[in-house]
Amino acid sequence: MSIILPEPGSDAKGAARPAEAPIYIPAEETPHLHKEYKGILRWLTTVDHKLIGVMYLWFAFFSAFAGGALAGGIRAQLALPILTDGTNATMGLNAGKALLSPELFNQFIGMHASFMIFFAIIPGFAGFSNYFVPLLIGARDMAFPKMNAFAFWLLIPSALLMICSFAFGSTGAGWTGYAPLSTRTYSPNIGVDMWIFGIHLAGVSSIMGAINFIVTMSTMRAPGMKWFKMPLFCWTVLIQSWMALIGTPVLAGVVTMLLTDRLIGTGFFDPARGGDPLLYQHLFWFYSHPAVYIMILPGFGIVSHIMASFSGKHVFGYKGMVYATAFIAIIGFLVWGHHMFSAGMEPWLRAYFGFMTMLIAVPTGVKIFSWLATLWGGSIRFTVPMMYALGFIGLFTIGGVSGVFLANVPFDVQVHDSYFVVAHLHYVLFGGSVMTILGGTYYWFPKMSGRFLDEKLGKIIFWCIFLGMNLTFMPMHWIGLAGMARRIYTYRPEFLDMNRLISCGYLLMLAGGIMLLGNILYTLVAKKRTAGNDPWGVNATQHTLDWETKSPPAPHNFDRLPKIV
Amino acid sequence: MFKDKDIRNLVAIWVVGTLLAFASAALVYSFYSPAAPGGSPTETSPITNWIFQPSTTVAEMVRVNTAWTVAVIFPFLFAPIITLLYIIGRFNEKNNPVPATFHEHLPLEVFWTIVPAVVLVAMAVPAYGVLRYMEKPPTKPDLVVDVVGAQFYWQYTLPKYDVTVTDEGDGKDPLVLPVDKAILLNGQSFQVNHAWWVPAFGVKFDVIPGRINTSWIRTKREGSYKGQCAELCGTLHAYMLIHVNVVPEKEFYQWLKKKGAKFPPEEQEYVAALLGEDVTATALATSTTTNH
Repeated sequence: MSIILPEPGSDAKGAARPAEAPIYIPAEETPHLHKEYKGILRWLTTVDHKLIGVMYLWFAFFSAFAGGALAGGIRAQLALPILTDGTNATMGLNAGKALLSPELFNQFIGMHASFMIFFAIIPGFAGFSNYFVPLLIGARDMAFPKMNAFAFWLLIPSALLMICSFAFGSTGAGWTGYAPLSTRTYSPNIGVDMWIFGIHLAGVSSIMGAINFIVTMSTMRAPGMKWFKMPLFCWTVLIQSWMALIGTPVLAGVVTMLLTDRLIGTGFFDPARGGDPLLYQHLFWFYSHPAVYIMILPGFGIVSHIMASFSGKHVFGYKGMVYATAFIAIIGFLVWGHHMFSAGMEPWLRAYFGFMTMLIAVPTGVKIFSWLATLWGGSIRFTVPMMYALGFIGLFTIGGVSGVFLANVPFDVQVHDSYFVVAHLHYVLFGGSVMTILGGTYYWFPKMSGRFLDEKLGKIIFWCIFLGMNLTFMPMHWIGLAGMARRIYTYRPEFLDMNRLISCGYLLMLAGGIMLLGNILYTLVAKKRTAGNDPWGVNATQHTLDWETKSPPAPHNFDRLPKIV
Repeated sequence: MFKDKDIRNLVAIWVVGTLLAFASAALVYSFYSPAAPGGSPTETSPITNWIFQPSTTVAEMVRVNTAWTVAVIFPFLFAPIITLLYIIGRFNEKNNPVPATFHEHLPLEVFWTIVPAVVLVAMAVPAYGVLRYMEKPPTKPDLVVDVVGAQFYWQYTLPKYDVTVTDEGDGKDPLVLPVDKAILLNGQSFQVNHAWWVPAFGVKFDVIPGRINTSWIRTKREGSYKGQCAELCGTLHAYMLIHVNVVPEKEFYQWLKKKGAKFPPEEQEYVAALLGEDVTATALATSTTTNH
């Protein structure tokens, strides 16, 4: 694949030209150059995909800190609990003396997950998708720039609703919000309704974004960029968008049913009125299992770019990677029941969901092997983004293997709703999603800002986060197997040491996160713009369009729309 | 495309990874301690689980199945990570200044699609066997226990004996089960979801309003077992602890008698012989009156 950038004036718009000839569109005709404001107004009114992408990233970054602060509350409580050994007659009374009250603890776990999922990881990837999909396919903007801006701004009231819900007693039913615990009878707080509206808005935003990406990639690829010339990151975003488009309406539906149960007494989930609590779980996981892939697929794309770039090679098995991603997405919709192995279902159905879940290991394995083959024979440069990508392979392999164990139904029944599951999901969502977001941040920061993040400090931050992450989540496997249930704010004395160790790991990650914020702010304020079009010097092998624009790109991205041959 | 030495090392890595996996499986298998130090778990001993001290037939099967799963799946944990470390040491800027140019190899891709799929079958088939065993409750169980989860306590009813006990989470009134019997557990709830979980029994089932979830165990080992609610059920979820004592048959009947059981006529003679006491309804009524 090579890129041709036509000269200005070589092809005036409207003039007769051969079908295959390069196109030149003057910059003035790009959609968002209607009126440019300055300062804060520029950010508030922009429909430029790059500025929106940057806002998504900042939003995700601060949400991650908010979610991380909630995690800090959880870890503090679990490091200093009033222990229960099951013989204390006044256990319930002790609850009042704990660091966090049990009510608040349950709200913390629910909000930690809601924030990390809906406001940190998904918008984090939306930020990169917004910024780089148009660049990578050689487009001037997204297909629907105004809808793009609207999708972002919906997240602000959504997050505000969730934050404010704390004041009114937020959901104590976890982020899963299982009925009947989340119904009016057992959670009368108005905060739960606010939480549901928050999910609604985030869902609408997600659907808008998905439609926008699908249309953009379907119609606005540069001339000559056939589907199978599209970079892997675009493929993963395309497939992720289809998943979001199909799955999110189901989530919106199920929380709406919960809302009507709460507010107007429809009784969808109330057995006394012919409803079924299990219906909630089926509908909820029909979205929320695919959501796991919505939260990881773009990360697969990002690390593919990083690994190819810094090993000086092409991604191994490009088409295999695309097919594997699509296969993961399809199977991802057929396995929701593995979240419900202990909830009671037909015997053959448990076997079906178990086998289908195991099947996901095959395309996931193809991806791991293809990444290793990408690195094999390469000339690896250990830049910070590459370290995140390499760390990602190790952590995601661990998360994937524990996932295969969880597909084994008899084993899953043992560890279901225990800390083993907490360990597994954090290896996938932290070791997978967050590591790729951080890798992507370092990789594309020079493109987005024209400045390099400090590499030396970056390595210290990487080791803090990598070691802290393992220190936090590895022991959770063990206490889960030993018999510690999740979502409990106090536990048996035998788990005390491990929980304190885990809380130390949290502190290490927190240190990494704060240094990262410092690194970014320092770079933006104090460093000079030194990055050229191709700051990492990788495009001689990569031939991707993101490195063909200025750093940061001009508002219209490309002076000359490229042609791919 | 490859230097022969690297290919040889790659093969060696996968062999080592597989051996490490088998070693891990052996380790998991060896965790089993038929007689734990200190004998059977008591009320004050730490929580026991199905890896170290499986106490039912199901838990025992899951333990063996888990060791097998470790053996077949852990090669895919160790080998990729060792390969990654090898790559980091071997294919970096210093040791390999000129990157290779290959980027596809169809037979290789087919190979690493098929082999994991075959390995998964080797994992899935035995897992299915265990699942079938879990899901086939005995048609004539020795004992039926109705388990009811409530905010925030567990209530057990033994319908055959008309006995109900309530475990408030403090262990003062535990459920008592006879050893070496097939026991059917019917889980119900009338408020919110809970999950009944005793790690040493290898059993966990949600209790959900509007339905009865059935599970079963065959107790194998006496002792005092601990568990806890495993589905978020509200503020005092952490205190919904479970206490089960598995005792010899005689002690079980003594416990039933103490709880004021109504023994069914066909069992009265047997129990009377076992306990050396009359357990007919009239006799129990008399003894209750005299005792109080």
